[in-house]
Amino acid sequence: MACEWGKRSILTLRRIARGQATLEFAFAAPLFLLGLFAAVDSALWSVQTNAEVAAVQSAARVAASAGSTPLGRAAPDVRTVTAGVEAHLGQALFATRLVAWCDPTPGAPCVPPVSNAGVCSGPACRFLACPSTPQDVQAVFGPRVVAVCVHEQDAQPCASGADAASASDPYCTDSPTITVRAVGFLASLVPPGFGAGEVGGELPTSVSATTHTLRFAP
Amino acid sequence: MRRRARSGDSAQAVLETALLIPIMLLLACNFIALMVQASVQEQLDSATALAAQSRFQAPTNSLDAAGAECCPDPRCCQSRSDATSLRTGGLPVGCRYAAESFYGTMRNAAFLEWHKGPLCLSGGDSGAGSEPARAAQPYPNSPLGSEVSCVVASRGGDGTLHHGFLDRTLNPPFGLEVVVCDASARLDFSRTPLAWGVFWAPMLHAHAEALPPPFRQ
Repeated sequence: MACEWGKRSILTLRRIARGQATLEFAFAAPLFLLGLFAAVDSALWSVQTNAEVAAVQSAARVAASAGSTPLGRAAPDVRTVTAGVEAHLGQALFATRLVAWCDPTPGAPCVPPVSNAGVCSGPACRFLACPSTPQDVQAVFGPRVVAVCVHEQDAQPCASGADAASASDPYCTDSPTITVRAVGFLASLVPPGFGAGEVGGELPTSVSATTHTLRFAP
Repeated sequence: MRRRARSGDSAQAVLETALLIPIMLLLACNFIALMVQASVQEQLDSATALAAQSRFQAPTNSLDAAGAECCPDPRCCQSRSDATSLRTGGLPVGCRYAAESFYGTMRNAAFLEWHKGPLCLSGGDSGAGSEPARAAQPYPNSPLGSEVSCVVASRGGDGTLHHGFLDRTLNPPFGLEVVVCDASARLDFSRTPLAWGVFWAPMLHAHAEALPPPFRQ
């Protein structure tokens, strides 16, 4: 009888120990996975962001010297600039699509024509300026897309035909400024509901590089 | 006896979990912080390199007109200037171009605590052999609160020649005059969500040199 009781209590103890181990595992496993995913995800994010920084820097240099003529003041074509950086940036962006910030309608020009009065109408007018937030890119191209955008800002011409800067007009002889931005959402292991992206599985990114364009004196 | 043993086991399990959770989160947090540091360093390097190179987009001996500011500052453009603006009147245009490139590239850096210095410097020598190293000196009217400092050669309005930084590792022993830009900042994690688990604040430094393009006179 005593032997029977002893056996039973050993079995009960083993069952309790097994239950405790399961409970500990149930606590520790999600934590371990959380830590692991956070580490892997931050490493992926870092690799992708570093690639973006290098790409926009190189794109800014390409865009700064990509005028059709040395004296030209035409803005560089965003599709050309994007194609220039796509080869190496595309490899570093895991499961993320890289696009030019252009009207995606087939056959449409990158940016819509603007009238002489500077008036633009229609939804494609959003492509005249760089997207201000990653959500703007997501609204057009969907999730896990990074858009490359090139923005050229020209200096105001000098007042009344003067060809030199003056105290009242110190910037009129400046060469245009080029800004290249990579903005959108990068694919990541962030689960939905963690607030980083619109639909989960993504992290916002916005990297830019600015420089003056290279212009030769006429 | 048995009950005491069981409660002892549970207490041990609770203690193990209580130790494990913060350690795991601390490790993950610090790993993320390291990755953030690597990315910010890359961005700082990129901004400093673009600043040094953009000096050559400006005419060589051209000086900013009185009243010129970086873009105008804060920082650098898209808003009105204020008392902290970088006023660049009388300085080489290349200094302003460098600042505009730097600030334009480092726009999203709210958690950096900058080490500020003069925007525009001249001279300086890397030193070699019997030639001692010399630090660059700020231009007389250079703004002092800049987050990037660049050594830019130019000829002043009164004909004074301001030299660039003489790097004697290039073309030894005479060296070559180059444009040098430096930026330093402390990465302050206390301004980020990682603050609760990251107790270090690394100092980041970026240094970039740019040589004049060979076709430029």
